[in-house]
Amino acid sequence: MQGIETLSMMNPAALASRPEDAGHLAQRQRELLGLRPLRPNLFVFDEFGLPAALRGCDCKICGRRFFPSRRSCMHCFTADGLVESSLSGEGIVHASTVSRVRSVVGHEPAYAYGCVSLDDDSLRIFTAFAGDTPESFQPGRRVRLSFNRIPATELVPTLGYCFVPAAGGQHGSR
Amino acid sequence: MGRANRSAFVAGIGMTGFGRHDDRGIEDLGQEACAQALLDAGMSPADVEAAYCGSALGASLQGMTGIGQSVMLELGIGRIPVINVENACATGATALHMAWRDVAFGVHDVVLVVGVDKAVMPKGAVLRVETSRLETQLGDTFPGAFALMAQQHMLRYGTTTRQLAEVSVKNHHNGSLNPLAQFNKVFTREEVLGSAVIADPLTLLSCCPNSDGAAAVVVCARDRLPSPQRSVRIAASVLTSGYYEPMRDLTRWECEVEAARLAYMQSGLGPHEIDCAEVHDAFTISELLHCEGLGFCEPGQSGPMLDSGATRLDGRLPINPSGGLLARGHPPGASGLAQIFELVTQMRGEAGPRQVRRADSVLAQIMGGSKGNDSQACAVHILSRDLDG
Repeated sequence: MQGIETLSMMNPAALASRPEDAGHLAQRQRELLGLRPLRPNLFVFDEFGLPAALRGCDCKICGRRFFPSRRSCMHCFTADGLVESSLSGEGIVHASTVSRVRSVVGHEPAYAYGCVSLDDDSLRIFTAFAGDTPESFQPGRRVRLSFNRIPATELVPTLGYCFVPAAGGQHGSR
Repeated sequence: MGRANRSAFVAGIGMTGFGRHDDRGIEDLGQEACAQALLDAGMSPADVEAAYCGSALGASLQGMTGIGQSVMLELGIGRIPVINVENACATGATALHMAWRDVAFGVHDVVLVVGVDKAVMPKGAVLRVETSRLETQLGDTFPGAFALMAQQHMLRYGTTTRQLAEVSVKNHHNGSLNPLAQFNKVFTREEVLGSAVIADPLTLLSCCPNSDGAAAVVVCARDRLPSPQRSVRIAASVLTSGYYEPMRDLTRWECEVEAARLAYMQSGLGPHEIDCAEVHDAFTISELLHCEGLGFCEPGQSGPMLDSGATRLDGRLPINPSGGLLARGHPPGASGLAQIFELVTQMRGEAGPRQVRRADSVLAQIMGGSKGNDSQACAVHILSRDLDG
């Protein structure tokens, strides 16, 4: 489909350089291969065709960072100074809720979502939470970025992102 | 915006009952509200020089476009400019703002404004809108977005679920006195807190319903007022859009703070001179945040303000005497005009058992949609009984 990114097949040469990861990579590819990204240009992909980071952009003129990436800086009104960037993959839960009703696109309750303050980016982004009980994602919890098929029954199979508990991380400042 | 060169007035108001109208079409509801407003103003369809029609959901839920022309057709109004307006929940107020512009800047003398929607959904179904938003596709819901704000307000200021519930108790009490409200039933705090959780910490009775209904207003220049004693002056009409700051404070909306600032400047009034207000209580937390955003109290003080009784019908600043969205109901295209209907009714002293003590200077606030950490739109109107301001 023109203009729509899809995950490419695993790069055999790249895989050959990391044979110990083959099982994990193959599993991730089974999970994520062929999914339609939530938005074009939302993800940075690694050499295996797997999503590795969220893509933002920086304005070289005013120094602001944006997510999702934009065509022009909303403060400087120029596209010339914008460069793409990868957002940091860890942060702190800023706000959270547990939805007890089915979403309009078919997320089944109960599920958690909210906002995460990223460690390095002066950004607070919207996200789903996964990997623990919905009620556990209280403000202050350290979380890290992950990627998944969005668990919404009324969407075409879609590559999304979520934040999951960070290994060893408990709570921090919001 | 340039400086308005004359005053604009609300000369007539009309409104259907809000609730469930399975057997009626959008044109039918719109026609009823418009006919009432024209009759109330002492005008006929022939007096109308232009019309604005707000419908937030007609296109997506009923597959309808050109709703304004369809309503005008029912009224026998043709040939004049008819403009259809969509601005999410601020749709009706946006239509009013456009009519105010027309009159205040001398484009037209008599403009009819109508807002209408049929938003009641089948039992158990959620409102099927904004499905293409990134946040929606990640799981966001309307109640959930406000639940995040409630959590932040509770963490920062110590606001409690009891205080949130008291907003619903107050507004359902007011709605029980309003024959046009969707819900004429009172609820206790325990019933609000004990209703089904929708998005922690908001429960079912913390959320407004999706409703069917219409409201209409006739906006008029001074020299065309058929009945000056029943008319009120639009002392301020302001529409803003969001300020899309990624690190925004979730306990306030920048677009609301700016709209309020501009409205107070335009009217020459301050927040402490407002006698009564209708605000966008789509969720209980919303009313508290609006009290702060509009300057009725300091940030974090809306809970204590509520506890003091100041926002009750007999308080110093009654908020949502109509019952608000929580009890009056919420057809998004009509809600902004339903607020004006209520405030004009209060200013005329015709609100019956829910009449507030003083309504010389009143304020209506409503917002629409969400985008980039702010609301898409915010409208603030201030009405004054002082016709010569």
